[in-house]
Amino acid sequence: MSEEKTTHFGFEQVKVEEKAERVADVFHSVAAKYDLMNDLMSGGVHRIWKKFTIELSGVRAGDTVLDIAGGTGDLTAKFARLVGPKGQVVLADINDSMLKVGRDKLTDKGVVGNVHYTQADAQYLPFPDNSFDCITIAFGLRNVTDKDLALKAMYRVLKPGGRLLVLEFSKPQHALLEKVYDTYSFRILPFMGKLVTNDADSYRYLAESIRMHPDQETLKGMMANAGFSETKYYNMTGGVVALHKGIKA
Amino acid sequence: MAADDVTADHDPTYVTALAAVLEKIVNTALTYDPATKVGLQKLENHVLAVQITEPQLKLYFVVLADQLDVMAHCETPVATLLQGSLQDLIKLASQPSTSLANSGVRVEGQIGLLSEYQQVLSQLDIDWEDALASRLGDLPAHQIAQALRAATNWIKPRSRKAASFTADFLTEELRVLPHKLEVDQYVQQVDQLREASDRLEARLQRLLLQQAQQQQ
Repeated sequence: MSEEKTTHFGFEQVKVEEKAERVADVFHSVAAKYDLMNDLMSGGVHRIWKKFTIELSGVRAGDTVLDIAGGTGDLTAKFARLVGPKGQVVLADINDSMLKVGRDKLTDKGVVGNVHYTQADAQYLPFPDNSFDCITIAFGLRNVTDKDLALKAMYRVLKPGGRLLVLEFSKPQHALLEKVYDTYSFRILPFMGKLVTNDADSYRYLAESIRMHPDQETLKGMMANAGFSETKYYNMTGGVVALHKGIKA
Repeated sequence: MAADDVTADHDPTYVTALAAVLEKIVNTALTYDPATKVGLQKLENHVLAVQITEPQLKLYFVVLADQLDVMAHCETPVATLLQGSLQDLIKLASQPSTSLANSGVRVEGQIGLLSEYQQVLSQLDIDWEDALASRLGDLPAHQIAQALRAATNWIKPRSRKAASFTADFLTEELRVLPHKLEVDQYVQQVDQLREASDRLEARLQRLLLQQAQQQQ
């Protein structure tokens, strides 16, 4: 008797090969109003989390940057300015709807020339070894089916001395904050999703997937297992979000 | 001078939020003063860190690609560090002086960068009329801007005259402070000396290395 491998999709258990498709459906559904929902859900604080990610990246003129799960291009737009005309930024996303929204948005803002777009799976990055000075994945890792495989792929395509930055929802560090956050995620968030995108299920998935994502210390260990050195993390907004950093030695 | 790291124990959200707000205000203001914006370009890539001791807060300022970035964390080495209490720093910013003695503010690194910032920002001339017109419409913007201009024109020469009288009295009559030109020259000489000693140190290191290699 053959046992089928399963993984989590929010609180639900699904076949491993099904997860990517289910996640894709979620993002096809929310792509058009993704930015608006991000602002509404976080009260605009996601911009602060992303700003700190940019500051910690140490990206400078001439660098090559890969923005995985780059979605609607918030980080890419900032990196494009920092790397300048001699640098390059690759915005990669597995979801073509998100990629289209991101590409249109950046082109409309005049962010062109040093930005490239790739539809790519974080587990199987289609780039040569040692290609990037910096890789970021913001609010994307929890949707990846095999996170260890993705971290190893990122390690492979980073140049020696390159930095990986993982910005992701995490575990709040205070019991009271955790309680408030739970109520917000499971009651208010799906309601807002229903109101704005007419899709409560996608936002319920979002809340559930956050709870299933590895906590700060576990993710730090996973990064070390993938080969990263000097791994550390910064809790932001009481641990609601954590920014992990690792270096390819 | 190496950039200080934000420690992993501190939640960087609040300082980053403050940096984001300041960055937005400064850059919005600069869009209405293109001359100052161009002037700032000569300071590109030189990081100025401002460390406030009371309350404890550190922010980094750097001109990058046509914009002034304000950051809570900076990976690039700091060129100039300005350190003091909030009160002392505000006092220094509002009453530019050629000497930091007794100001309560400490400076490390390239002092010249500070005077360059001061020089560029002293010519700040925001086109309030343009800024207000895009929000309030042409007519109210014109009237408000005219009132602002009249107020500024009244205050500026009087405050300048008072400041210049005090400065002249202290430097020329009492001779308790050096003249601005003397200080500028001194600062320049210190920078030259520092660069020369850096070069000498590098040369010595190279000679020592060569000697060690010859002995092997």
